[in-house]
Amino acid sequence: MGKLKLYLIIAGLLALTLVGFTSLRSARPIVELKAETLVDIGPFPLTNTILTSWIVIVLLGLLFYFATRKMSLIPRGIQNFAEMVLEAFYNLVVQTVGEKHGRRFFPVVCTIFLYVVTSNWLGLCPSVATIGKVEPMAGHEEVRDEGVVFDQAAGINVIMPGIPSWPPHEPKSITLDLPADATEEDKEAALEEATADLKPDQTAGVLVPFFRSVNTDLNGPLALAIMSAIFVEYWGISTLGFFRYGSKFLNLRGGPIGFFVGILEFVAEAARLLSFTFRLFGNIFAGEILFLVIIFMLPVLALDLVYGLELFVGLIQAFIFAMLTLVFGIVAVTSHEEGESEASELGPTVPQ
Amino acid sequence: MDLNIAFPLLEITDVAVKYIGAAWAIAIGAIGPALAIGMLTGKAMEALGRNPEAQPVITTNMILGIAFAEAIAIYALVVAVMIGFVF
Amino acid sequence: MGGLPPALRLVGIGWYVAFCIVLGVSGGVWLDRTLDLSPLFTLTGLFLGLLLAFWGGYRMLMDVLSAIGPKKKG
Repeated sequence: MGKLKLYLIIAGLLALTLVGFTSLRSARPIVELKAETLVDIGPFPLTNTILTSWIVIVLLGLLFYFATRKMSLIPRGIQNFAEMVLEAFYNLVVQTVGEKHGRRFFPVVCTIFLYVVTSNWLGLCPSVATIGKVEPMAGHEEVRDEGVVFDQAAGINVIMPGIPSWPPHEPKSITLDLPADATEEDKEAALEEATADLKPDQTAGVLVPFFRSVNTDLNGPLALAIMSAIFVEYWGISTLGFFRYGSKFLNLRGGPIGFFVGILEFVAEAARLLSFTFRLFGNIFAGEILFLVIIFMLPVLALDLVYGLELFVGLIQAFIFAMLTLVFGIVAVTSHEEGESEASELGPTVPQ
Repeated sequence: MDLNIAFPLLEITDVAVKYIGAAWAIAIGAIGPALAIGMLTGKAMEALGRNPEAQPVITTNMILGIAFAEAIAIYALVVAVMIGFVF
Repeated sequence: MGGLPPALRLVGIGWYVAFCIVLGVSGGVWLDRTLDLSPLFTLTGLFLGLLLAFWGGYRMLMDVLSAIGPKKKG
């Protein structure tokens, strides 16, 4: 009976994959690096990533508000969950850097971790990046180069998956292949001729999602990286004093070589900012692209595997961002002379 | 030298070279980090075999090291995506 | 849906979540079309759909987990 069930499950998965491959594929992926603006509030463009980040903030606030109402000594329910998360992370921090600095760095580091993990996982929730408004290709400012044909179903514009057929058939997408110096009239003419055979209720346009994962916009990770850089400098200066901490960068004692080492340290700080940004941005944005491509090529089964990968990657990237902030905080706080003796008590390798 | 004279059957347009560039960017850029992560994990396994009690410390530091190595692959990926989709 | 095997119940939860969201968005878009106030009602419909979907899905998931029960642990 066990073998039969196993074979049935495998057959069911293969059948599901086949059904997905022939009839549930989406249109060609259109990848948009910039976050799309939904509304313009005065001079301030409200992008869909800012909206999602507000949702993340409200979610985290509500979670911890409900966890701290009527607190009891033996936690139950939401308080139990919140305490579990915080305690696990606190133990990890204290194990890595010791009690004294751990208590001091913990709030910032844990905030970064919770914010990044919530925003990454929220980007995997059902309606993010799929539900939005349709902007026609012949837009206000300029004609877009790529678009997808939307059908109408019950009044909403949807991308209908292709009908079951062999070879597999996908929803129609329109690409205007024009050289880079084509004028607006050329583009409009090409658009006219490409959309000449559309039915009246079909639209050729691009989907602008209402919500988009926060870290797929370069500004999100950049803001977090700037914040963690500011905090690392603040911890260094407040522990060691301005001149002792500054002597790491402006090293007047070691001669000309020491001076250049100081400048290199400064460059390393700036490079760290960029590296934090691009690590988080690259991982999450590449995940989005992977989703789009897999939905285009092999839905249902490969999609589940990619979903699991994205869950894991979201968690790990949050953990790495927080831990790297912590480690660089410790490096900033231990001054250069006693750096060796203190650093040897710590767990992690001090990265260079 | 006009490539279309040398290979007259291929139509080498600007767009084609752009895509080739994007493919090479990520192909070469992922070799180094892959080797680095493999070596890192191998050494971590060795250390774990010698001292199984230190497992949490070893695992944490291994993940940190892997993050540094993977960041380089991510830079290559971002460059490839920008060449392919933005330019 | 009480006595069905857990796999089928989980599939049911998935369909329920998708259906709630689509229903919320359709209702919102329809209201927008009649009242010409885009996209306010679309977003409200989306929010209500999401809330209903996740709350109902969470309840059903808890039921499924307690039906699988402590037999599978350990």
